[in-house]
Amino acid sequence: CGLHDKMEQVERVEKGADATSKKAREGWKLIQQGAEARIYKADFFGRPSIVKERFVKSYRVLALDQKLTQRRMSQEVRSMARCRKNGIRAPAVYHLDPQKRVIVMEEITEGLLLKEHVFHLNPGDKDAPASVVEAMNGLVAALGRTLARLHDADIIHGDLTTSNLFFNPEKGTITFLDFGLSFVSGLAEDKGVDLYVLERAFLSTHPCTESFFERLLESYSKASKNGKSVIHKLDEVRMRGRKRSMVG
Amino acid sequence: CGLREAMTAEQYQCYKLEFCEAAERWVSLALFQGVSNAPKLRADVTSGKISSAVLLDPTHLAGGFHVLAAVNQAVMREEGRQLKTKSLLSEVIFCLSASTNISESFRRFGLKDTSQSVLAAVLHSSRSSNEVTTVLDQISGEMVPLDALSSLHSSEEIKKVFKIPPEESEISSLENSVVTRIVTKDVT
Repeated sequence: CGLHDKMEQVERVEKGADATSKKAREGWKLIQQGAEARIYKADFFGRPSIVKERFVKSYRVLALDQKLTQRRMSQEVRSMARCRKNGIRAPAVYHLDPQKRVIVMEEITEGLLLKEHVFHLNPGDKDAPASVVEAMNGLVAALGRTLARLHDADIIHGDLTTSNLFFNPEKGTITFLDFGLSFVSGLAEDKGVDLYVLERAFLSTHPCTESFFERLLESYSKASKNGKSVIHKLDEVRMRGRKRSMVG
Repeated sequence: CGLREAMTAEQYQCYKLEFCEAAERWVSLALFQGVSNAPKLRADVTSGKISSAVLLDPTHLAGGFHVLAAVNQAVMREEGRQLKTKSLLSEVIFCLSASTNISESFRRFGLKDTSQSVLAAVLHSSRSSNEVTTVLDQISGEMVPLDALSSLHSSEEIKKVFKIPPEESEISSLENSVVTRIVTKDVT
């Protein structure tokens, strides 16, 4: 009978969540706890991996929570797969368990988080040497180009910050991480917002880098098929933004 | 026989499944070339004489990791009571494929009468198990290290079947591209 099945399902979900948390303590190393999920470092048949385990939000109606979580998980892995198909670096997906709300993915180890990289360079310093300027220019140019490629593939990252980007300085390549909020869209508005999120995150984490960010946008514009309309939308979004003085 | 066991211990790889609910689940992978009894092996599988292993044709296998990921998915589905095929072993074959067509996966990955190499994936419930040597002893062929798979498979065929474009090959290993596809096939 339907009700019996539903109850069995509830039991299994609750047990499932418990089982993973118990196992989570053996051999998995917790490295981050966010609002949506816990991130662990683990080993997947010898490969260094990241395990993303989404929580059950008990304040939500179970059926809705399941649906929402499944949708988020699907979007996340779909975006990663789509990136890779378009030659954009993103982690490979090693394991997907919708019932336990777990994604196991490749751990990116080549290079550094963009955030770390920029901190080391310290480009906001007035007396930054030419080598730093050069390195930053290379970095933002690469980032602009890769973002153009991402958006040309109609992928919206949704959470662009320098902590979600990996940079390999030797190859000059960018790898995208954390597709938890990503989705597929061709709208210039969505792409503009994506860039706006990055702008706010970038400038607040790395002060006095406005000129470098401008270069990023130039590089984006040049490489993008629809760069003009996206930048146009970005300008619009900037005007809409928070903490704007209502003058003029 | 003792000698065979010593050889097998060095050349076959044994892995523990860490992402399933059961406490102890192991899979051992062994690769053979110059196999002369493929038809008999197939018959043994059908009759149930070989019942704890899948025997695969390596042509479309990207690597050992491809098989491990498929075994992992299959075990997950079995534990979650969501098998799309009749048994765990057939589910492994289904999970090797990025398509939802079951017969197609059997045709592509399953051992053929004309197969000259075999990749055996044996499922067992403890690290050292007789099951592994029992199965491997049935195969008349030369056991080779798993790495030899790269010379027994066809990268072009794999890229064609899994639809891996050149842009992707530039940024990813063949195995990672294939595994990503098989694992996300339900949602892509």
